[in-house]
Amino acid sequence: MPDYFLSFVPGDSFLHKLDPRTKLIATMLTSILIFRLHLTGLVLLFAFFIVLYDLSSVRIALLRNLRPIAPFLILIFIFQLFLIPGNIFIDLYGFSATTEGLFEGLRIVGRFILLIQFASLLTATTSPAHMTAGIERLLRPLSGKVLGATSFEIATMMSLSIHLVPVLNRFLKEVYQAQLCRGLGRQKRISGLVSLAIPLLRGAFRMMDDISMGMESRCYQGNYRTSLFELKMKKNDWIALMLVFVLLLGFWNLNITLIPSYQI
Amino acid sequence: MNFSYGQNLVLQNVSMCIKPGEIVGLTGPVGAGKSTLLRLLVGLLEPDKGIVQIDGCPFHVKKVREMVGVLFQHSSRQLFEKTVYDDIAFGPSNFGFDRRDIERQVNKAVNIVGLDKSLLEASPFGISGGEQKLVSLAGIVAQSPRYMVLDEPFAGLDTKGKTRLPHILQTLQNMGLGIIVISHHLDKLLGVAPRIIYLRDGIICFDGQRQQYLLDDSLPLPPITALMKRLHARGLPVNPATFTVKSAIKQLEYLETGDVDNA
Repeated sequence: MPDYFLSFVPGDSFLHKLDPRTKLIATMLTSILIFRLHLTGLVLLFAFFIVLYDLSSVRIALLRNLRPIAPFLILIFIFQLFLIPGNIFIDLYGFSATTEGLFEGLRIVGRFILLIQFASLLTATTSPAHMTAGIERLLRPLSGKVLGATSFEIATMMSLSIHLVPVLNRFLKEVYQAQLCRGLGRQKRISGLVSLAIPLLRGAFRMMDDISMGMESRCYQGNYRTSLFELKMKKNDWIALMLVFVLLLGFWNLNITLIPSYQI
Repeated sequence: MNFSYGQNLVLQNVSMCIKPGEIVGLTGPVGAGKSTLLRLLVGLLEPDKGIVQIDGCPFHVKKVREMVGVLFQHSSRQLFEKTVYDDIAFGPSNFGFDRRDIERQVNKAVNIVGLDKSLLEASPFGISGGEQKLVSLAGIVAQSPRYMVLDEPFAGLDTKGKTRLPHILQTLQNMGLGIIVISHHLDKLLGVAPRIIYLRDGIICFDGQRQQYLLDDSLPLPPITALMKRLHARGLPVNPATFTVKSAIKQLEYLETGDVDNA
């Protein structure tokens, strides 16, 4: 179901056809860039995201993606707004919001939003199977001693975790409904949260246990396995990588000074 | 009542009425909309068209949750407290019972369900799956609802629990509760519910008495009924609407011995 956070949406677009390694590296480079940029750069990067989003032809609910972390974002923003010293522009009962705080808050929140959106674009256009193949191939040189596990094991772990996000989501919803019917939310008590968290954790552990047992009983060894997807970098992949790399270099020092004494 | 998930119409013109003190069995193939119907009945979903009414009162989510107890399919997933006692008390304490009432409710529920008293201080995670199911059922009973909806209550119960459950339902029915049992286990369902509703592709195909259900050839039947029907068709004097193995054995023994008292 496409409306779950970070789930795959099947399609046939340019982005879907790219090699998973290309997309993974591009997302990584973009993430580095996101942490480097200030507001102006972030806005430009957002424009770039919109172009990619349009290219991908998947219609993931962008705002919905943010819902799980919205409270944190708001909290971070408020903290930045009021706690950073600088030019005061609003004074609320002794709490003073500063211009510096406003920009800093916007910047941090903007970074989180962009990170999540790029990540959701990656997962929406890359099937978990392709993702595993891509991660595995990228990690293969580090296999063994460096990682403490084979690249195959790590790839499997990662893809399983990605797989299980929507499953756990559904599980949580189920538990939530059951507790609602037992009167959850009638009284504000700490057990409300506990009544969701404990079944969720228990369910998650049990699920992992079942999965690992199922895998072992089917002789999963964690070493090299033939893949259904033979990865091959095509012309488009190299072009896309070049593009992202150029973007990285071009944006690297893009910090325009609009307000004296503050970079945005 | 109509309901759809997006474009997907799940329930179509579903209309039913459950009276206090009545046990209704709801069955149908996977994906027929049984679980959706359950969620509509307790206000977890809202119908696109039509209304849900309880005792003639207009639908009010908070009130409904107080009056209707629900046992979900994977009900052992809802357990979380340190002890079984606390878990059973979770519902009643949310609905604002005071301490003494809670204790009384829990004890009553434990008696009805037939849980071993020694389990009360145990952790709900240390007991067997069948016991967990009974604990969650007790948690619902302790809320003293007027109606109950049980989704697959037979699943995961051991033999003892399976024989115990019809008695529990009987007790609750005698207390005046209206109960809907959703299940795939046709033979067990027929054993507890005199009225059967058969749902297929979001449409009620059958709503009526158990005996009529058993005589309708277009509906799925438990194996024993199918067998007895065949025998009946071959000209043997047996009841084609038999649904328990016990009664079938009696009838067949009667055929063998001609012992009328046994039949």
